[in-house]
Amino acid sequence: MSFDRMHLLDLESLSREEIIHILDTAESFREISEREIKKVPTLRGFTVVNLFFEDSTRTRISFELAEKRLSADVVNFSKSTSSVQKGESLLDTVENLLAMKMDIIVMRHGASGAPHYLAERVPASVVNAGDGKHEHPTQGLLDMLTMRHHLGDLSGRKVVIVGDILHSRVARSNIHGLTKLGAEVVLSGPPTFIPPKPESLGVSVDYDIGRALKGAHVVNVLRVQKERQEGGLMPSMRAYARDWQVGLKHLELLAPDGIVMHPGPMNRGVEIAQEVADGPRSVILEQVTNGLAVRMAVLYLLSEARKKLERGEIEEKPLEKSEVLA
Amino acid sequence: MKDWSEICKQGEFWLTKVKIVDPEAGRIFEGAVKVDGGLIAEVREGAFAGEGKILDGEGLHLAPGLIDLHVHLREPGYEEKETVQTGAMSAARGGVTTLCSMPNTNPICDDGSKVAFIRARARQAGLCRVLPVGAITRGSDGKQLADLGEMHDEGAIAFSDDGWPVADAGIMRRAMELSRAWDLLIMSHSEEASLSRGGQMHEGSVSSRLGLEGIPRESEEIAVEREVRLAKMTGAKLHICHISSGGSVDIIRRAKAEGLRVTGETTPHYLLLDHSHVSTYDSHKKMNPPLREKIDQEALVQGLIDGTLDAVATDHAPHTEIEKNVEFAYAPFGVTGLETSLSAVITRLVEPGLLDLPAAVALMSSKPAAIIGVEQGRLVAGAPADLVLFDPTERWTVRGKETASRSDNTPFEGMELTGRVRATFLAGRPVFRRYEEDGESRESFTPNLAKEAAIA
Repeated sequence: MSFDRMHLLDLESLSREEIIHILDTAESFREISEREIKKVPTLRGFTVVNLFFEDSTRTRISFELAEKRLSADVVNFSKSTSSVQKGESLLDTVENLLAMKMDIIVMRHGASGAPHYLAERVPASVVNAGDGKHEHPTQGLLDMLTMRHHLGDLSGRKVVIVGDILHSRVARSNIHGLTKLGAEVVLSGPPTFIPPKPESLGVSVDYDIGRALKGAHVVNVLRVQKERQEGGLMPSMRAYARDWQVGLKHLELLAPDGIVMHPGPMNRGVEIAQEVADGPRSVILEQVTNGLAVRMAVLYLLSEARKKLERGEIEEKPLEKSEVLA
Repeated sequence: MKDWSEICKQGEFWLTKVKIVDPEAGRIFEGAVKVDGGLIAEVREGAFAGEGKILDGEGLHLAPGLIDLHVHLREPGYEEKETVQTGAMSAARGGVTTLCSMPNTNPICDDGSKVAFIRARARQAGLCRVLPVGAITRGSDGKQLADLGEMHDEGAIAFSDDGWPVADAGIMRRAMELSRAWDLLIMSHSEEASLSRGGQMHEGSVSSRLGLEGIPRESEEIAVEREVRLAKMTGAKLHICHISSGGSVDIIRRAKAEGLRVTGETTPHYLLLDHSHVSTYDSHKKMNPPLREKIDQEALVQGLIDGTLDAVATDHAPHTEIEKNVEFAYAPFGVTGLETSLSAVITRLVEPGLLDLPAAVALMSSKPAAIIGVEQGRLVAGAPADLVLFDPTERWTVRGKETASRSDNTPFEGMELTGRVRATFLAGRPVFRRYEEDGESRESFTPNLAKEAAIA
């Protein structure tokens, strides 16, 4: 298996084999962070720009650390310190950066599809660090890596995602990745938080969290955003917590080896009870550790693909085009 | 290459060796057409060499010039997107000889002087008849009725707050009531905004995957139902614009069965594309209402076949590349269509045998003419000599860059379509021609500025 892509835009377009290959590669990178000198020269000579148009602490730090441990040159760019506020277009912003020869762009953006837009127009590799309500592929990968550590092969395993699925890029990346690995994915949350036609995503829905969690191997709890409540989708945070907070009583419903996950940052006492977040089933901090390994793996694989492209060993494939009327 | 414009200058000529597409009689026959003084003087069937001045139609098809009920010309206010001049060129290139211009310019076309301005601009362009649609409310703010009577006096053909649906049912009721005084046509952009607000594309499986906010069918259907009930209540003449949803077709079918004066149009893009075409976040597939599903497409086609829907209009909505070449969520709604509508309809409806050519042409000529009550759109003696000469079998690939419009935001980029316009006549003069010279395809525009043409 080789990974010949120039970009990581989403998990939906990856094959099962490609996902497994990234996860396997991440396993070997986990060890680097355990060393006394936590650094390898893999990305020496590569310049990576972290382009964050939305606030992010953990994802940006995780990427930055991954880049530095791979010895890349790193540039950080965030909306508050840029000319974006003056109305410069995304393409102009990026072309200015590329004039200084950047190889890889790690981008977080509030508009779904923004990384796809960019990938079609610039020669650099684009890594999606979360786009709008679409996908957050490295989060999906680190979630799967964490699940694999605790459960082994994920096929046939039941994963329940609880919360605001409609607006969650984490949920979409989990759904695409997990269904490709053969897991059974169940969504739970208030009906106003469930996207239309969920069956088209290959998942089932159970509004009753207790029923949904029965025998689950994983419960992945999503952050509930206050502004969504005010948008009229739920009466209040309290109303959400009453029926969909994952509490102690839910843990006994899980499979004996069942784990609790959360992509962070947590609203303790809203979507997840304090005792659960800090309890023995929680693997939330492991997720953070694995995030670093996954991001190192992704950057490494993209850099290798770029080298192969330069050597003419592979050709750049056009991005998938929508089917056009024959 | 003989210059057709010179030949036509005297006002009297025969256009011979053409296959005449008569949308009203529903048939195609070989023959010739005599034009005199901007009108069709005679339609003669059978082989005929012609007498006097002759234009050789070379066996091409000849139909009434197309009538497009829904076009955004953008002038005044948004001249960077389109002007009356460039919009009229785009129309001529697409075989469109009469178009209704929507009032959502800046300022909004909401009084008589603004209607007169657009008509004057169109006369200067001399490439297409432009019939302005006036706003229903002042500034299209949905609050206070505009002076419909004054705009009517200046030549407004219909009334609409297109782009900003009239949210208040009470205002729409009063507009429909007032329209009865002159029996004006109300064109409704039917959208219940509280259901569509923030939406970027059709709400369904693709919006779920892409993480884009959805616009459900119901936002259109509920509004169509409201308009139909108000039309029944008031007796107004109602036309529903750019229908995208199969459910809306059912509502109009019931309204017609009830005998209400309700008509409806759909667009080429709803007939050829669906929400799956949005899956690469291509902003050239973004318009409002949005591309829906295959089942909607089929219902729209069925509505055109059984007569529930009366017209195909383009909702030609030019936007600059600067505006469109951005992240999907930030791009404005709208696509161009004037230059592809005939080809799109032939490709989608005629080629697969769903409609014959005269029936398809009727949707873009005689039927819309009946909706707005104009004498164009017919190929009979006495009608204005607005004509389109075309090859219904020529295959070509759509390239936005080749457009005559100021904007190139076509949703059909790269698609191969069948049927292509070769010449467009406006009031008896060839205003657009595409011809071969020295083995190369050339195009020419010749405005018809003759006084007697009295276009627009």
